[in-house]
Amino acid sequence: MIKFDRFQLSNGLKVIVHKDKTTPILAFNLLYNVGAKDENPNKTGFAHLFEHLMFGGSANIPSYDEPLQKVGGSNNAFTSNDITNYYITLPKENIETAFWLESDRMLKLAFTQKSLDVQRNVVIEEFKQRYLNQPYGDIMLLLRPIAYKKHPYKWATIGKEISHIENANMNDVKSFFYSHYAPNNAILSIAGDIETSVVKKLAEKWFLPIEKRDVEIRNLEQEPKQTEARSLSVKKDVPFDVIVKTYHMCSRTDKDYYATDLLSDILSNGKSSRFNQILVKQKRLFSSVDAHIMGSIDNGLFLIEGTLMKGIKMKDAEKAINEELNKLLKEKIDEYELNKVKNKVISRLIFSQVSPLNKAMSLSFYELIGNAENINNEAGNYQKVTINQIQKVANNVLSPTNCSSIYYYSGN
Amino acid sequence: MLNRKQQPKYKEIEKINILKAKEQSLENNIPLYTINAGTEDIVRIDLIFNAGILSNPKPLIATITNSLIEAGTKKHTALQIAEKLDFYGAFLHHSVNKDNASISLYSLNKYLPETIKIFEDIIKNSIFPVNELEIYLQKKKQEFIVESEKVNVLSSRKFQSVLFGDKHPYGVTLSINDFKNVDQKQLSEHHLRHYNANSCKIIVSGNVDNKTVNLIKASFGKNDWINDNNILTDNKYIIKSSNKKQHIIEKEKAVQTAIRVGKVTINKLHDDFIGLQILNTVLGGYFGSRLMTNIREDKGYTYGIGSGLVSLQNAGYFTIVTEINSDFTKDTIKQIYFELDKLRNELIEDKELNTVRNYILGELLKAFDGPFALADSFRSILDYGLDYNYFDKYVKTVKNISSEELNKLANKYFKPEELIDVIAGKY
Repeated sequence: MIKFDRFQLSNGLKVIVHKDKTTPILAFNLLYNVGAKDENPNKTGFAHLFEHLMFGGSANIPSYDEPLQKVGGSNNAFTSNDITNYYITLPKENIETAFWLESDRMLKLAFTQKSLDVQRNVVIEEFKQRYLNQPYGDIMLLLRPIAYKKHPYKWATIGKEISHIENANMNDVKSFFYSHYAPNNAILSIAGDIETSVVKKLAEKWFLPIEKRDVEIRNLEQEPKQTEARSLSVKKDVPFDVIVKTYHMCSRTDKDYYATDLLSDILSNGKSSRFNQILVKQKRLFSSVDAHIMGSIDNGLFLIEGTLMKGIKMKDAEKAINEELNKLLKEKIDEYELNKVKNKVISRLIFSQVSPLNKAMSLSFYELIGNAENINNEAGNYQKVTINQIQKVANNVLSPTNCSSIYYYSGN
Repeated sequence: MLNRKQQPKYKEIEKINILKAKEQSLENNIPLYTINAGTEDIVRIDLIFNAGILSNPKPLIATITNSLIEAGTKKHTALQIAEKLDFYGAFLHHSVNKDNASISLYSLNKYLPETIKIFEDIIKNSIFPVNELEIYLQKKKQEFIVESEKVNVLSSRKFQSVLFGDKHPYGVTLSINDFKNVDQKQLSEHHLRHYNANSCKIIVSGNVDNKTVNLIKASFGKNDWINDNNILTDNKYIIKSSNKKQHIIEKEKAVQTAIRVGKVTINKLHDDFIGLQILNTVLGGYFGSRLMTNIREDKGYTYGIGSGLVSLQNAGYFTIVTEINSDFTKDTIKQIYFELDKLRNELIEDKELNTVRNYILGELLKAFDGPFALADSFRSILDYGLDYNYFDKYVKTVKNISSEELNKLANKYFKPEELIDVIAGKY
């Protein structure tokens, strides 16, 4: 049971406080409801570039990191297709520094040309290091536009292409800031040994003076139902063939979400899972094969990815995957297997509660998608999934007409 | 009127409260260390053995013995073991470093009576079945080939070998042929020699009470797994660094180039080590470091650059690591040596040094927060025969070391002619 208090300022900022007396460290997590899906399709990669710029100094504070390091704190951030999330951990006595820093950069960034020039280059290096210079690094860049034709999930957070980042200019950046970064578009969660009354005073002192902004109203194109299988074949400078198969699934808040997650676990979570035992160990077709769901807020993807053993033909590998999927469509799994995957998930949830930072991040996220209270319902939601539900979801999701495949061939 | 320009009042970290591990001896003389902390009803049991890379009779044996410990025992197959662990939501963590090897069990307390029995069986009775080994080797060989395409992997492998010499287990470079030379017999022998009560230490952390300790005593405290032929790792190897200053591995199409600069140096047992770690933080140990500020934040050459000081039981090493835009390889190396020069020739100013002091204390605070962090931090002194006084000394040094002392250390340990450069990519 994670207990917490919640309040909202008149400018729209939501604040959640979870008291944890066992740690000297305070976690301060600020989630902005803006992600890659909010970008202009001709100017992608912005939400992520912007995350970098947030560290380039704000209106009143030229350096973000240095004052934080001075008080024994550290920080980081990440951007996804759905959100941009900033977090600080620091000794609880110095909580006010976190309020000072985060409120100033919510108020106004410094917007210096030097910062834009440097961070553009840094992000371009990140694009290369993680996506272009690694074998198989570009798989998601290829997959998204095949799976999504209309919805902005069709491009990756890093951006569609390097040129979009190269062409980013100061006006674009300023306009992005004012249309998405606002108190009424953010959720602050704090976890540690702190009283809600103290947090309230600090929130009123530092964040209340920031006025509401006209945040761009989200009006994303819906992805129409996929009615026939899609595929793409590529040849790359990699040592082994890889197959990727992705299927459309429901949203994060849909009632079928938990069953879909467990379905992916039945396939590949743990050494005793079906993919591992049958495709890797028995049939020796793959060196590894994995199934997982993307967990995106809007209708997401169920992803299967496998690296073929040398000498195995792509069509045989695909046939074997399809055989395993068909078993789930036709036959109900048994109680033992269902309980096994439930136990694994619930154990993972418990282990993740060791860290105050994890708790703060989760609280912000659950509040965003509905209600922070749902953090305490997760285990129960997984427990409630039935054998029939698993089979129903398998039939809805794992159908061939719902599938986009990438056949990633080794050019060697 | 709200003054946004001024940093609010803050407190410097005065002391770090460390919950100390309690020690006791099992019947078979295995030292057991317990850390009772945290809010969740979970536990982690670490079994630590003298079975690291240094104990390798030949490449891969130490790591594969460790990885395949759950691939089958006298009474249970790999699948049976996996099914049980998965069913209870328990999981294992494997670790092999240059000096030691460990296997850790993570379990919910309510299932510990069952999961510890599986854990016991794996540790004591592993047989390394031939078919499991074959599948594992095939998979690892494929991974090795993929990894060998990456510039950071190529530079890392070369770096270890030029620092320690390719005859020393720390520096031996793996080749694809090594996978052919591993068989079940060697793994079983290695397991018999090293995974036994004679060279074992146990740390248990989480919600730990007498029940937990009794379960550990029952599974691991008896004489059934003593091996009188236990072989202690004998350090007969000599470290021999390369005389060549620069080592280049060309990879034509690399859009990024990996650089490593470093040398063999002192380890944790040396008086200068703590001071050198603080100096290392200034150079490249945090986001505001000299290297990050210059090469990433000023020039945008890279997504990340850092430096580290690694302590091993028989030596230590210092390393600067980065992957940069291939067009700027030469300038990056120039800038790296420029920053090292600066540390040798100029004193660090108070403002910067105070920032680093507080940053390090903040990191230390995290290192003792929660049961598993406490266990990890404890292990870092256990491996060297040090006690908790080491951390007191650490905090004292961080708070009090002067710019002059740091400057002396820079001149003693950061001599450019003693550093070796390894470059993989385009030069």
